[in-house]
Amino acid sequence: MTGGLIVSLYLCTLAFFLGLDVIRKVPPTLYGTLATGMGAAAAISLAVALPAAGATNTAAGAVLSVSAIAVASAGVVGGLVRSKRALRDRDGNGGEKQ
Amino acid sequence: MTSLLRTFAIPVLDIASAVLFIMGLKLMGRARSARRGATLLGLGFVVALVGTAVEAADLDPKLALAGLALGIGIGLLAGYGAKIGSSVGWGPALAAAGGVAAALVALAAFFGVEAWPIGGALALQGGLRGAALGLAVVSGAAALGLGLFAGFGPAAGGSGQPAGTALAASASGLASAMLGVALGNPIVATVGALVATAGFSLAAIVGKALGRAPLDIVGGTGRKGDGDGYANVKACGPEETAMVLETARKVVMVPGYGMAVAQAQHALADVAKLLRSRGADVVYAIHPAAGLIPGHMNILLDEAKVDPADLRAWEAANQELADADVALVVGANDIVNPAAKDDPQSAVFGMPFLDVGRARTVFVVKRSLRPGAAAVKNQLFERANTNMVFGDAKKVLQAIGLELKTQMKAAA
Repeated sequence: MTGGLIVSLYLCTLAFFLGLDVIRKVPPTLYGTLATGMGAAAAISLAVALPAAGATNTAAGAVLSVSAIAVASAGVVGGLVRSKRALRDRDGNGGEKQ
Repeated sequence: MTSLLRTFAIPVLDIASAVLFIMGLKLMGRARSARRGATLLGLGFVVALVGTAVEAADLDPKLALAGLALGIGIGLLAGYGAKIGSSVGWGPALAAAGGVAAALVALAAFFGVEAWPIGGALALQGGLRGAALGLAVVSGAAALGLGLFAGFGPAAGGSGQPAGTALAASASGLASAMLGVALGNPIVATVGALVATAGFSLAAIVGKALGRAPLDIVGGTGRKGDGDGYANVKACGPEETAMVLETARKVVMVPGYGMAVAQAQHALADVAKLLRSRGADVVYAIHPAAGLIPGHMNILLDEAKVDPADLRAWEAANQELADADVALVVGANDIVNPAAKDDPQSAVFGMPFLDVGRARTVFVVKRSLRPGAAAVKNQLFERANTNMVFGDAKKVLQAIGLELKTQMKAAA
């Protein structure tokens, strides 16, 4: 185990403050894509769902963790594809207006 | 893989991934680097998952791979399945996915996934762990509620939608962070917490632009307009305007009576010059009735040493607007009112007008939402691609110019 609960708690607390600083001024044209990108990033829970599925030894654990993996990976892939597409539309000629 | 190599590889991958996520989010908030930011975010995921694979190499991957295949399939469908505009509900719903997943894993942890990842759980940490797992479940449920309400609720698809998506992402991030803490996974704790507050900040920024509290926007309640019968008006400052102008390849300036009143022609010409020096194509759209008398704009722009060859009269201007990235309207109202085309009941119906809504993004520099001489409402101000920049035209344009210069210096 690399982290441990207390170390993760430190990192979590520091990252709360970092998150406030990362987003300062955002042009209105990027509100939608940035929000979608954040949604994708929030699906980082995938990184614990995957090993949980391997470690589970109960039926309930298996169902829950596999559902978690499916939902989280759908969030990552769907979110990133959507924000990439919206940005391409913005940059390309004749794309959709947002 | 030897255990020594693993011991080193895992933290290195975790740290690299965290850096990619932080840089990715930062770059996604700037017009010039938004696409690069999205790519870094994707890379962050790849690195984090490689780290997970290294760490969990001894576990049976069958279930995990089945879940991944299913999820990636659904994700591709949701991402590519429909046009961005016609599937508005998916954005906030997808942002809730991370929180829902975190809640499910937290529940699975209650059902005895003890072998991994908690290892030898210390009794002292048991209470903290339980509390974090509980919070993960609650935040995950909140993310789901927010995501579905913002995506499919009464205010879905409105100009406040990004606020709903950002709030759902924020709740998802909090759920992930709590799960990461409970299970002692540093990368999940870090990235989750990062998104939790960044998402909240973004929702607050969108709320401020719309003049309402973020939760009011999601629910479609709260202040609807400015007492002038306007709803969903977005406003931003000169800095945000400059951020968009900075990446525009074609800009159409649309001066009106307000520019004359504020004597803002020199400031406008300065902004045009700065944009040109960055390689942008800039023209001025001149409406035959702009200002007090015909030719009023021409006289003022001539005073500011604008080349008459850069001026476009009404119909030519509308053609230029069709492929413009930005239309910058300065103190004009009736001459850019789309009711001239769209609303047969309107007093301005059938009049010549500049169709600035054709441009990808419209900024309207104006002191307030007060109607112009024709005393009619202007629906342009409520459109999704319109942003109001409230203030004195001269001061706003000077601020935009200053910001563009600062950005050019930073880029040089």
